[in-house]
Amino acid sequence: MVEVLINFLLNWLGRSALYALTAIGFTIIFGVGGVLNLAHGASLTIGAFTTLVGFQRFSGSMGDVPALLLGLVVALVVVAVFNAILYLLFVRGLERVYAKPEQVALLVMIVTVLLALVVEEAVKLRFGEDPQVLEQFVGGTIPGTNVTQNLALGFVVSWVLIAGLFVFINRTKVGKALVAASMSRRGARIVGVDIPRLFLVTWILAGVLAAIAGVFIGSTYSMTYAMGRSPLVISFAIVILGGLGSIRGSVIAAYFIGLLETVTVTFVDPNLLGITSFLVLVLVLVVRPEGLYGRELQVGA
Amino acid sequence: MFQLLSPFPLATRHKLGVLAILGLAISPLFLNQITITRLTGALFIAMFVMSWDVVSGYTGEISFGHAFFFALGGYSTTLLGSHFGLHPLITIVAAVVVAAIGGLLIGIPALRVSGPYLSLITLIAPILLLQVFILYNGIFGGESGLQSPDSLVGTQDEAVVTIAPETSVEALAWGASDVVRVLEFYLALGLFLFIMAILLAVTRSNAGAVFYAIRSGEDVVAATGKNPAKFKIFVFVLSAAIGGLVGAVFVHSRGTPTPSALLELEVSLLIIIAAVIGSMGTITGAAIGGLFVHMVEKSLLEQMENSFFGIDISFVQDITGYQIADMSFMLLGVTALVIIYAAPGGLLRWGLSKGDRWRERLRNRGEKS
Repeated sequence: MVEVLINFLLNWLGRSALYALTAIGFTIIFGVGGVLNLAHGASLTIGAFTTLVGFQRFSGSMGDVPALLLGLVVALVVVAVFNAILYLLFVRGLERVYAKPEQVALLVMIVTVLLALVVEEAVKLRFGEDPQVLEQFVGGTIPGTNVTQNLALGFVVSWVLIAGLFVFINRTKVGKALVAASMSRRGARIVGVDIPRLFLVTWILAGVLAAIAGVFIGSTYSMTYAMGRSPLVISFAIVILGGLGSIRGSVIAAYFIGLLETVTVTFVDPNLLGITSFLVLVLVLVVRPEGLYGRELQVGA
Repeated sequence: MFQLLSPFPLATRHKLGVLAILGLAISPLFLNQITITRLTGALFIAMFVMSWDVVSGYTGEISFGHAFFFALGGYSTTLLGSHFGLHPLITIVAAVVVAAIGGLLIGIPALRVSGPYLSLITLIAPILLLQVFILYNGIFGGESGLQSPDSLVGTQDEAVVTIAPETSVEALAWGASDVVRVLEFYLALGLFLFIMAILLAVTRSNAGAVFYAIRSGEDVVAATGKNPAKFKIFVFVLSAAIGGLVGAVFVHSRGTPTPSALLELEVSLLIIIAAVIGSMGTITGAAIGGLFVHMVEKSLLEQMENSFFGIDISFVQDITGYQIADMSFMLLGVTALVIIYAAPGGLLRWGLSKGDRWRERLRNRGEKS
């Protein structure tokens, strides 16, 4: 009984930590940029699969862990470039071609979903539809439980990154500009914030966080060309529950959604993954559309 | 105002449209059986795209899961037929009602939320439905779907209209199965024209103007004393009912009640790609996009000896190392992306503005000489 409880707790914490990592980037882009990046899941997929390719390439000439780390570094660069192109070429490009802001907002959704599709199809072309396995950073499980040490590492990495993000947003100039821009874009511009550059930083940051989550998802669970889909929808759920652009709200919501999912998977039926959180989500949307923590990018307590 | 109601005020466009429909109507006389069947499929896709366009193209509430309604229609008619033995015409009507209720379910949250939030609800609705299908796979057949219900036209005795096996049209060298294919084509064409007429009537009416206004801002609509939520629910129910009708007739024709044909994300995305390529918010553009996308995809998938409409495309495999058939969906996605930037508003609008400029140039030249 105690064992079941411990397993459950650890699975919940691990799963939620990865959800939080994915959702934070999504919420920053949504909160600061005001646009919905449906290619966010693609960053996760690119991150995981580039790491896999890098690992396969490097593992011959060095140890497994260094090869994996080197693959991860390459993957982060690739994802950063992908998100920079996404923002500079595609999103800014829409602003150049289409005059009305509401048309741009609408087309950003369509363009990003199409790019996600292109990425998925490209991965499917190269790796097929079968799940791939990514080498783990650390092997084995935590003694006495069924939770892998790899997932535990993911949990630690997630919290280090979240803490770093809080410091970045509260202590650095760019971070403060981010908060300012999320409150009022015009106000931020007046005090001299370079909005396009700020957004570029936001997109790259979001992509990199998602890629790291993707690598841990790939090495802990499994990875397919469609691995970005459910994290995208779950991020969406988390962001709505936690409030737009609220990092603190997103983290709390990630653990809440993670709890629902872990309860469902562990005690009810693994096939039901997603259903309970979606139902809660629809309920929140209808009852309290502004989420738990309101609209603005909130940091600290 | 006039422009709002009718994006095609020029008569030439209408003439071209009528010509295109006439061309479709006589096309079975000239085409081989494979192409006729492809065209039938393309008509169904075009109908799906039109049902998406009336809600997403007009109101700007992008639905990422319109397959939800297609599946509600297709599965309802199949299950009602197999469990209660009802006549296909009754089950199709019932399927439309089920799909319309589905539209209401999606439309009601639209009272409170809009934009990306509503898009999210449309995105997860088919995911939830697929989970239900997999969970109760005894009833819904899970990932592999259900057996097709009785055909509307076929050589079997169960079909609504049975074609005797010895039927043939000697002049065209058609056997019974060919006659069935051609009749299925006309069935699809009839439904296509029926749906297009309804959607054109609705979108070219005052309601269409309100749908378009919702896109620019619901406050504007509310300021004129109209309730935007009411219009959104109406258009969702209309779109869902039509999507359900098409899905239902589809499975009684060439289609199958399976997730891959009616429900998966790929289906919903193909619909969006088609509308983007054709022209969102025009109905006719959506129909053109649907026909185009299906014909191109099928030609790529079933291409013979690396030839695409007669053009040698073996170089694609030489360069990339992959079969072009495996890349068809990706290529369509890329095409839609290119069109968003290169021909803003889609091919129909692009073609129309080019046509206008061309006419003007002709007129100017006439005045000079």
